[in-house]
Order: sequence, then C-alpha cells, then structure tokens
Amino acid sequence: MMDPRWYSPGALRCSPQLLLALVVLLTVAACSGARSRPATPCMSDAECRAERICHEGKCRFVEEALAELATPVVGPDVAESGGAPRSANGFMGDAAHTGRSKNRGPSSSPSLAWTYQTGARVFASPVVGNDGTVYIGSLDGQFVALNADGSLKWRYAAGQKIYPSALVAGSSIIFGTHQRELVSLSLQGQTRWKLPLEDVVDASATLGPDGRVYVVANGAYAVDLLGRLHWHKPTADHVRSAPAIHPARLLIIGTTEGSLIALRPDGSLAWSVQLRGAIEGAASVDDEGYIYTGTGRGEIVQVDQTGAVQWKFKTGDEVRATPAVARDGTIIVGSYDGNVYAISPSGALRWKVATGGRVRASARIDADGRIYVGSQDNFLYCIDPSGSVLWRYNVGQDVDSTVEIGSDGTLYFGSDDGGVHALR
Amino acid sequence: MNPCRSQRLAAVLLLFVAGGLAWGCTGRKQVPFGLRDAGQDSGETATDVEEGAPGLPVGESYGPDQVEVRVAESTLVLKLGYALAALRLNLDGKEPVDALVVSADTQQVRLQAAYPRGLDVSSRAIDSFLVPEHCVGPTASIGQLSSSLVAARVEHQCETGKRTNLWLVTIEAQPRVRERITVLPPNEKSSADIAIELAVEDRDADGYEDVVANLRIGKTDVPLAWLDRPGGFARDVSEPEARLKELADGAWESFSANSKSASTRALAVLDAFVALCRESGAARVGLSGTQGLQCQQSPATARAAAVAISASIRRGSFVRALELQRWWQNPALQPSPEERNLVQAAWRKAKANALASWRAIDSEGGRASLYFRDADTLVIDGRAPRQVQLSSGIKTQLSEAELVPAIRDPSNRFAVRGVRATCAGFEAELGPIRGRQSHRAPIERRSSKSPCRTPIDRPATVFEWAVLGWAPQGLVAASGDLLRVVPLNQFAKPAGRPIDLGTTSPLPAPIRGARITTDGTRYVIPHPEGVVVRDWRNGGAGLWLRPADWEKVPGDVRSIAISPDGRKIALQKGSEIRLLSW
Repeated sequence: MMDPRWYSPGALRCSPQLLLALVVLLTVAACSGARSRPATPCMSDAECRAERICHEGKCRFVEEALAELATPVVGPDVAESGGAPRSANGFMGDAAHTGRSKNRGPSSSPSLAWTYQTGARVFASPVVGNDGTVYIGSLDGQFVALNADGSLKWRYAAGQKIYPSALVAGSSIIFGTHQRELVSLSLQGQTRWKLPLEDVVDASATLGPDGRVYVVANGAYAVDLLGRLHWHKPTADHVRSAPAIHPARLLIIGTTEGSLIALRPDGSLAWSVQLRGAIEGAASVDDEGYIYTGTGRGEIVQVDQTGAVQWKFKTGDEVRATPAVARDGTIIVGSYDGNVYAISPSGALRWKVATGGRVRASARIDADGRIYVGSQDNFLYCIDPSGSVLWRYNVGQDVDSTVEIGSDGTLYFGSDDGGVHALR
Repeated sequence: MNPCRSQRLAAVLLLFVAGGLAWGCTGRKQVPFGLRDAGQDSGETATDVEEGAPGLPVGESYGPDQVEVRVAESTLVLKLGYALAALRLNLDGKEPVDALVVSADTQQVRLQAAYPRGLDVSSRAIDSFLVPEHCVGPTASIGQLSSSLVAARVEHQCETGKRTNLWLVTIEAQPRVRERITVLPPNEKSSADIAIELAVEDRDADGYEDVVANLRIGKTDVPLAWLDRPGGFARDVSEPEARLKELADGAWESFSANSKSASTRALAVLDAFVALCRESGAARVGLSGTQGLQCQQSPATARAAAVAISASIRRGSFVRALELQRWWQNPALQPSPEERNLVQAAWRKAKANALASWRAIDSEGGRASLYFRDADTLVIDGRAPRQVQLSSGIKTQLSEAELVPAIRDPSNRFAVRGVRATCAGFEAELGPIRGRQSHRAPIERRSSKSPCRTPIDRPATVFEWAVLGWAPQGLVAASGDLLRVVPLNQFAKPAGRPIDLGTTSPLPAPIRGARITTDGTRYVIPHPEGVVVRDWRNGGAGLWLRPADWEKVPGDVRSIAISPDGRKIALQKGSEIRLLSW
C-alpha cells in the first residue's frame, strides 16, 4: 500500500523539494520534446545536434527517417483499369499478374544489346525501376542492379539461391531468398531490413492496395514496408505461387497440393478450392474479377471471386506458368506440352503456337498486344495477338525467366546459362 | 595434544580398521549399486535367459503399429504409442520371465519394465525422452550387455542425419538407467560420422566389469569408459584426452617425415574434440541429457591444431592455416611455446611467391592508416597526412578535410573505426566520418556455451575478425577463410542477421576499403611473418608474400592496403612504409 505521505495534498503544498523536482521534471520533459520539434535544414550530419542526422536536407532522428521511408508508395500503374489494385513494378507488371505492359517491345527481330553474366541459372524475371535500372536475382545468390547499358550498379550477396523477381515499391526493393528471409533494400542497394521467415521463398512478393507486402513460403505473410510482420497464415505445404491481388480485397495463392486459396486482408480464409493438381505458377485476375491459374494436371482453370470453378481448359502437360490476361480478356499461357495457348474468357481455344520445348516462362503483353514468351527450346518468341509468330530469337539456353519490357522497348530476361540479356 | 582427545582418536581408528577387516572377511566384493543384492542372483538370471541361445540374449525389434508385446503367457497392451523393441528376461527373480520394452508415440520414446501378474501384465516406467524436432522413424534394438546390464538403442532419422540414444539399464527388480548416451546428427561444425558400440570389460583390472563405449568419429576410435566402483559407475575422466594425446603425439612425431599423414591425424583429433567436448560449442555426444563431455583443457587438441596449421602452411593453404589458427583462441586449447614455435617456423619457411619484392617509400614513427586513392596514389594518414605518387615518388601534404576513412559507407556518412572483441562477441565499431559518436554492429555473437567471465573490450587480432570494406549491403568482414556480410541500413545500424559467403558466392559490390579491391576479388590479410593475398576468383586461393629481407625490417605489420587493381600492396612494418609487388 502506498505511503499516505506521498499523496497528501498537504505534502504537495509544503514540500519545496517536491516543487523543485517538478520544475526539473518539466524542464526535462520540455527538452525531450526535441523529437517532435520541426526538423531544421542541414547539409551534413555535423550540423545536427545530439543524435540526429541530416536526412534529405533536414536534421532527423534515425527512427523518424526510417518511419518516413516506410510510408507506403504505390507505383505508377495504380488502378490501370477496372479499379483493380495494381502493384508497383514487379513480377508480371502488376498485382493482378495480367502481364500487361504500357511499353512497346520490338515488332521485328531484335539484336542483343548486352548480357550480364551471373554464375548460375537465372530464373527470376528482371524488373525495371522508374529510373531504368534493371533489378534481378540469380541462383548463384547474387541480386544485382544493372544500369541501362548492362554495367553493374551494385550487387547484393544473399549467400543462397534467389528464385523470385523483385518488387520495386517506391524507394524499396523487396525480394525473398532461399536464406529463409525477406529482404528490403534501398534503391542504392543498402539493406533496409531483413525479415526471417520459416521457409525458403520461391515466389515474388506483391504490394497490396493497403501498402502491405504479401509474400509466400510456408503459407502467406503480410509485412509492412518497415519490415514488421502483421500476420502469417500457414498452409499445409510450401507455396510457390506469387500472391495475386483481387479487386474484392482478396489475396489469391495456390499451393503445391492443388488448393487455390483466397485470404482476406486480415489473413482469414475467404475460400479454398481444390483443383487436384499442384499449383506452381501464380494466379492472375482479369478486369472482370475472374481468377486464372494453371495446374500440374495440365489444366487452366477459371474461378470466380467466390471460389466457384467456371471452366477448365485441358492442355497436353503441366502448366507452371502464370496466365497473362490480354486487354481483350484473352488468356495467354504456355504449357509443358510445348504450346503457347490463347483462350477466350469463356474457355474456348483461340489459337495455339507450338514451340520446340516446354514453356515454363510466363508471357508478357506489350502496349500493342504483342506477346513475348520464352521456351525451353532456347528461343524467345514474339507472337502477335492473332497467334502469328513475328520473330524468335535464339538465346542458346532455356528461357524460363519472364520477359520485362523497358520504356525504350528493350526486352530484358534471364536464361539457364546464367545470363541476363537485353534485346532491342 | 590433549591425552583424552588422542585416546578417542585411537579408538575411532581401531573401530574403523576392525570394521574394514570385518567387511573384507565376508568374502564378498564391494557391489556397485547393490546390483547383486537386489533380490536376485544375477548369474542365475543370465543362465535362465540365455537358455537355448548362444551368448547373451538379444531382444526382438518390431515394425510399425505393434501395440501388443507378449510377456510369458500374458500380453502387455500399450496404452500410448507402439512397441519398438522388447527383451524378455527375469527382472524380479520370480517366474515367469519379465520384459524390458521400448515404445514410442509422436511425442515421446519410453523405456518400461513389464511384469506378468497372472493373466495381466503390470508395467513400470523407467525412463523417457522427447522425440527430437524434425526427426522421424524411430527404430530400436535391445540386448543384454552383461549379467547385470542391458543396452537399449533408439535411432531417429533427422534432417541432417541419424540421432542415437543409448540406455544402459540395470537388471534388477526395479531396473534403473545407469547412463543415457546421446549422439546427435551432424551440425555445421561437426560433420563426421559417429558410430557407438558398447562393450563390457575389466578395464582397471579390479575384478569388476566396466562398461566401455567405443566411439568411432570418422575414422578415429575413441573409447569412453565407465568404471564399476563402490557407489556406482564413475566415468573414466582420463578419456578422451588420453586417446587424443596418443593421436596428437603421433601426428606431431610424424610431421617432419610425412606432413600429409600428420595433418590427417591432427584433423581427426580436431574432429573428435568438436564432436565430444562441450568446450567446442558443437558437441554431438552427450551423457544423461547434457550435451558434450566436460574436457576442460585439452593440450592434445592444441598440439593437433599446431600440426594441422603447420601442414596447411607447408602445402600452401595459407588462408586455411589462418582459419585453423583460430582454434587457439579457445581457452581450452592453449598451445605450448614449443607448438607456437613450430607454427612460427612454418610461416617463416613458407613457400613465398618468388617474385615478391618491396621497397621503402616513406616512414612514420606512429601508426599510420594507409589506403590507395587510385592505382598510383597512396594516402598515408599519420602524424602528417600526405599522399605519395608511387610512379614519381612525389609527396603532397593533405589537409584534414582531404582525408576520408578508407572503410566508409556509400553515402560517405559513416566509417568503420575498428573491430572490438567483447563479451558480446566481435563487434564493428562504427561512427560518423566526422565526429566522436560511435555505435557497434555485431559481426559474430559469443556462443552462449562459452560464457564471458571477465568483461573484455579489446581490439580484435588478425586471427579473429577484420572488416575489409563497406558495400551498399553492409560490411564485408573476414576471419581466416570465412567471409561474412554484416547487413547495415543507410544509418549504419544492423539490419538483419549476417550472411556467410561460400567460395562460389559472388561478393557484394562495390566495396570500399583499404584491404579489398572494389569488386571484392582480392583482399589482403596481414600476418607477423608476411602477407596473405586471397583471390576470390580462384576459389579463395591464397598467395603468400614474404620478401627475402622481411626480417631485416624491424617491427610488426601495423597497417596494410591493396591497390584498386589488386596488384600492389602498401604496408607499414615498424616505422617503415613499403610498397610490395609481385
């Protein structure tokens, strides 16, 4: 029980020591308010008092600067159509994985501009930042930022394989590695944070409309741009499909056991549908809100936003690529049977193009509707919207990496020889 | 002395002697744990159990889903899990025979005794352990080891290999576990295969059977013994050091004649020490639930390390030699002066690059920081900061404002001040380029298994950790052949766990530092006897540079830098600043 002397009003009135303590306390409190004072302009850290640093021309505490850096920034492709949320620069161009690009790729046979050689297979898709820097990881554990001329800007050493493509969200570059962690770097390659996960990461992260980053490993994780974990929804098995964002505020992931799962923004399960075939590629969402995914049974499946299967289209072998969605709603996807398929939104075959090898890479669609897709026959294909092959380029090795289209029309992709190639 | 007191003492002594004689005259030997007083004649039991079987009886192992174990005319029905193995033997000296049963469920592995009571079987738990995480498929075997002991072995398949658990159990009415030996699967520091076999022999020739666990670690046999003594089994604490000494001495003696074979033997000692001794921090053999034997000081392992280091130097694996030299940092492994001399001599005699030559370019009484501004310009940051044009020899004084620390972050805001060894481990000391504030980033945390008894905060030595440079990702630090990235954010604060890079891993780039090239392909490691240049492009191979007149320049290496093209090295040895090329 508290000693009554400590709370007697008389004691407050009569004790000069207590009054003195109060004055000291008030002074200290006033001084400690420095954190909330407006930031003073500066040119260097030396001009800042106490523990503050000069950040973007103003004296700030490190925590303030970090909090500012964490402000969600959504990229230029926001709400391109249909009100669907779109990610910043990342795998398949947007958070719905439509594969569409606002840029125009080459319509005639291009030539090699440069190759950056890594030490192992490049499975990831390059991602181009707003300043033209190309970001990509390799299975030799390096993640590189390349200048537009192919020279090295900086290199991050992960120490383990990097399968996923990067997510460039504002001034952060985010990707997972086989080091069992999610990494966030600044555009200069400095580590922002690393979040340990419970499993290796094989798929790209996606930026949600709520500014959170969604990533999969042994289930789905929601992380903010400060690297704080908000929730983890474990799944029975490993997940290799990058999360797709549905306009009905759903996160769509597929599991290697064949379940297509929709999660709400709080991580709760909205629905799950068993498709009876491993889902290795990501799902995509069209402008009407229909969801598409390929399965290990060789099927391309359309599912509505309640989880009801609308139709299935059967190919001759496994489908591991992410279906791209053209602006007219046509679904473009390759299969391990060696064909690239164009399927109407009602599930009918529009055309198919035979390549000489399995098609693992996902297709990208440029502003004119031209389709760019690699095959394990060592060629990169350009197909027009009617299904005619405009050109094909011999890379010399399997192309499992999905193409990225630069603003100047340069095509960037990786291949099994460890090269990151630029064609224009 | 008080006469009354001396009389009392004499009486007590007399009684003690008389008592001892009386005990000795009973004709009975001292019986450990009262085994042979436990209400049964163990000899008879053994005979009974051995009926119809050659040698000592061996139990039965079961496949999955066995929930019933036949004991005499009755059946033990397991309430939890399934039976792995059972040995039928007489425990309580009464007919019919009883059984020892090993069973498991998803949570636990149990050892129990089963006694037929009419048509029923009653059971009594003896011991249990939790199923280790990430381990599956337990299998078990059980057999009689001697007339008074049973050994039960349980094996799990874990992520990195096999995990073995061995129970040593007494044969008596209420069996007890005398020892539980655990062999863990391989870990990062110990990958050798470990096999264990139990045997009984009279090791100390006192007429009683002792238990010997023969451990085979890789290709090395190390015996551990439990001596049957009054009051129970006592582990023979002369092992494993005695066996390690035998091996280390053999390696030491054969080193001059056959360094390759000596190195193999020495490395086997190091492997055995890691696997067995708690002091290694990665022991895989444990007793009664504690991991690792308490080996304390191991002069044998320190000697083996000396042989392994010297052999590495002799065959030109200089980076490996530096890595092995880290063994001597372990307080349990302090080398003798003789062993230090062997290693020092090996460094002196090491096959240096024949083209290595050096020349004096300047002098500095105190310690100077050296770094290359470009391939032809060396900055000497000492009492009078200056730069030297290497091609012309022209020296130019530099102002404070023109000096920047060599290891600094990409935004030129922070710099590395040094590496400190503290109770927390090894830490990089960082701070603003201009200013006194500093903070620390952990490079290697101290193992919780080696507590820091006296607070320390000293500069790290060349054989510990050094920061080579600063890449956008963070610091690149080296220790022997280990290369590690310590992630830092743009405010030079730690940003996640460090990453160890294998020799095939690309290094981060660009790297800023005096001792590493910008692309990280080459870096230098100073040594009292010369300089090691490590080339990452060639799988981390090391080059030993020691000009012929190295010893003629007095003093230690105080500062070192490599040129951006990796072809020249500047170093301060004593008070001389020299340029080394090859």
